[in-house]
Amino acid sequence: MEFLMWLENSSFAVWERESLSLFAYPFFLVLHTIGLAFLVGVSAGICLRILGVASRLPLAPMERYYGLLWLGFWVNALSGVVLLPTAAVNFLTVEWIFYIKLGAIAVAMASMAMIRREVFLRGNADAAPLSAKARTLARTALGFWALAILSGRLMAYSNFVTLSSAGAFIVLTIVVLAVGLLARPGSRARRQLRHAA
Amino acid sequence: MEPLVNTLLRWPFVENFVNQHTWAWPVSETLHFIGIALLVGIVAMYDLRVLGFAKGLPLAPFNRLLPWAIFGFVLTLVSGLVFVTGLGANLRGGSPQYDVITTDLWLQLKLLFIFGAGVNALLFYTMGVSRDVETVGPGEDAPLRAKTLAAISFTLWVLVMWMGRLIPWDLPTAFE
Repeated sequence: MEFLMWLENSSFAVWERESLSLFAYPFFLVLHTIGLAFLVGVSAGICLRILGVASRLPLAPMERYYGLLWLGFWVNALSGVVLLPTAAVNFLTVEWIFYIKLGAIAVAMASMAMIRREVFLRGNADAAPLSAKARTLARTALGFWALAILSGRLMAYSNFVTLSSAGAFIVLTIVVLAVGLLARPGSRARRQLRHAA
Repeated sequence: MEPLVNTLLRWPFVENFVNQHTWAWPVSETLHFIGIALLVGIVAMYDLRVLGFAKGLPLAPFNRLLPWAIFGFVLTLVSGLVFVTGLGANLRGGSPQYDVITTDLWLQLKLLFIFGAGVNALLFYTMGVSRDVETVGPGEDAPLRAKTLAAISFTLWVLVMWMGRLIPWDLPTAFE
């Protein structure tokens, strides 16, 4: 706790928080946004391909995009570390949503790492059809990236706003997924629903 | 000018909705970021391939992946419209839209760069560059015209994100 307070009052943190320069706090937020776009965007591209989008794209060469993914990750990890001292006490002791964000990122990154092993490092990625495990990992990664983005944004708001926003987002996701899964002709979800009805 | 901007861009329905539902603005922001990730991430994957990265990929199949980038753009556009039309819920004053667009340099530049990216994409599709690119197979190089447009696209979208994130820090305060 004292360490966090020391961090928050360090000359760097004070400069970062209070300087009017655009290269203080705003600059690191910009880096954090750009890193997010590459990290989550590339993950989404790879996961969508695994789930069957653009199936004529050979999978094996897509492994090269992991370099961009990791670049985005490190830009965000480092900018995140730099942003932390601006409100170290709040982020690490009051903001429970920060831990949800970090947890979601951990699960998403673990999924992307497991995808790399399951899909890309098993010899020829295009030789065999994608396993159910690979598809589950892809869906997991996408879901947890969305959770990471949501919880990251909600760090800026009070508990009340956070809870109502999270609830609204969950409802929205369920509606979108239901429409997406049921609207496609011949979708398995639709067949299952008709069977049950 | 001010009354025109007001009439077109100030939507009481959105303002009231944002005021009454505390989740509306944060959820819009979250959708904006998800849209950014899909749009910029997938477009970056495409642009980088055109520039020679991940050369084992043929370019034609990307046509099935790019619609997801367009979906991302739609997410950012719709959430962006919530921000523009509902701005009065967060800012006081009779014409917040007019005030913000005339004073915030970052917003002005962001819109300019989005327009530039749009023109760039238009050139890509109308000048036949997209057709040339579709014939590029695994291991092959894309033509120079395609690489130029891809580099411009990549740069512009990074600049859009940069400017967009700075919008809350409008110029007058930042450079005092």
